[in-house]
Amino acid sequence: MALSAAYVVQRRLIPLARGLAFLCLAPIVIPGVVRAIGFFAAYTAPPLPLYGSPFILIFAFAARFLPIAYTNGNAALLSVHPELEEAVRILGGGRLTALRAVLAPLLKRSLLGGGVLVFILATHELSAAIFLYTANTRVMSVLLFDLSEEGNFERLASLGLILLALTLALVALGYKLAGRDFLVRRDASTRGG
Amino acid sequence: MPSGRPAAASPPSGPPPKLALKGIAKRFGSVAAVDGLSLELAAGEFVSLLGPSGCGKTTTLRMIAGFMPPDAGTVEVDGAVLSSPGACVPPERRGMSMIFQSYAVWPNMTVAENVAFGLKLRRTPADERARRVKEMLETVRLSALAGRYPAELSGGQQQRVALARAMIVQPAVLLLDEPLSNLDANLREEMRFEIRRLHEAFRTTTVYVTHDQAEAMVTSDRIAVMNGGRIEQLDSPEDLYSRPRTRFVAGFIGRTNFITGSAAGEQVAFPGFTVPRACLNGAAAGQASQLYSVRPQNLRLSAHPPPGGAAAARPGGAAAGGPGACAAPGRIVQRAYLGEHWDYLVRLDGAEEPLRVTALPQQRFDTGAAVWVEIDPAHLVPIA
Repeated sequence: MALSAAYVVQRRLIPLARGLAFLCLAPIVIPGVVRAIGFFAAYTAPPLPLYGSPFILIFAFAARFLPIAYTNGNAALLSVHPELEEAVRILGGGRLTALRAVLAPLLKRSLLGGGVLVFILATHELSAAIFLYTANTRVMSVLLFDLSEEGNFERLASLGLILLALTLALVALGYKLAGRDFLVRRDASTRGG
Repeated sequence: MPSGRPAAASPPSGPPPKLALKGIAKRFGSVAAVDGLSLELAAGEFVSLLGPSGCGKTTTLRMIAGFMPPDAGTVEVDGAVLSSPGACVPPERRGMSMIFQSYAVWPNMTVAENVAFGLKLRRTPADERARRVKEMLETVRLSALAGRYPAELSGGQQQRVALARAMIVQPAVLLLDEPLSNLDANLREEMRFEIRRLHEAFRTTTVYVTHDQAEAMVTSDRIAVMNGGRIEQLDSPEDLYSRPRTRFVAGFIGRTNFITGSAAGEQVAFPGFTVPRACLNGAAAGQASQLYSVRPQNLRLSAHPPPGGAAAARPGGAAAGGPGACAAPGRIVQRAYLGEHWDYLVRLDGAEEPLRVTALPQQRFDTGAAVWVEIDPAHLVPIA
């Protein structure tokens, strides 16, 4: 979602693209607690009563981390010269072909990096979750917080360890899936004349 | 100015031109990047757009490619309108190819995959595709590198991949946007001939954008010198050099001297010498003064006055030069040795501005030495 926003902004596909950029970055200036209460107020009443469902947490987290993902996606896009896409188009490929054949493989790695970063931050996020969780949607951070309140430090430590191990495993898996970075020479010594 | 030059610029009548630009214009804010530009290319012709940065040549190319709609005018291929202010066929449906300044070789594909991509999009059968890719890689001498990734190639090799990728689809029109500007000097020289060689092999109608006059001279059938969003002059490389029409063209293509001649009766007086009007090109009767361009290598230096030579003309045209050739005394103001030739600055007696004169390496004169400059009126080209 952040990447598509960054793409639209950078290629100036729609008017007011700069406004969209501002919208993507805005959530970072609002304190987490304020944003959480805002979400709480907006989505407990009709027309969209989301409170109590996991969706409210998903939405809140998406808004919270959109600026980070947007900045990440934007930087990744800057590293790809627009002429790489234009080269696809002049040879007969549409914009979607350009995205699939060139942009996606080139951005894969940095996008995954951004995704992993956001995921790690999201597992620790507390300020929004603490206001929006219900008995059925207690996320890890809230659970950890409750355990510390209860003084149940043994369970807290073991749960924390599980969280840490899970995150590390996901990061490792991510880098393995990302494959090689095409923008870096595979081996400088094989370079031709 | 294009408006002042009708028939000479257009190819012979008959079939419609392969590519025609009709009065295209593009504005960025208050700046007219391209200002009513018209140009016609015959099938198989190689035309360069040559000009300083900011003259609108790349904008023109991007309008031809369809990456940018024109604000006015049309782009036509084989008589069909592809671009007009209201409607633009997108680049992917124009059957053109383009070579970019950054090469734009896809780093995630091997050399062979890059070259094959255009054919894949055209759904060429796999066996034919493989054969044509192989042939094309041989043509651009990259067969040995077919399986490599672009990051493992040198700049020149990447540029050849870009050429192969563009040529293999047999485009209606090939566009090149300063393709050699990122290469070092030696490689650039080599690639100029490579581009011309490929053009002679495939005869694709080509528009080549460059700011390097040597590139344009080597590669092109005709050169359009651009300035301020307009074509100043469109001619063959030879005519452009020997008969520049405007001050801008004369100064941009090679080096030159500008001198002003004032008509006085049947003579035209220049600072330091005089020639008969009858021998001069473009010296219409009644015209008070006229600007001329004379190339440094068309002036000759000698230590002694030629036989019978004087500051006045020799109507019979003796010794060197054509009718009306004359010699004028002057002094060397400055000199520079460039190996292949000498560069002298010579101030003629009675003149303010020194003239630039190119001489052979063995023609040594010291700074301050008295010399004679031989001038042939046939090399004085009138400038608008």
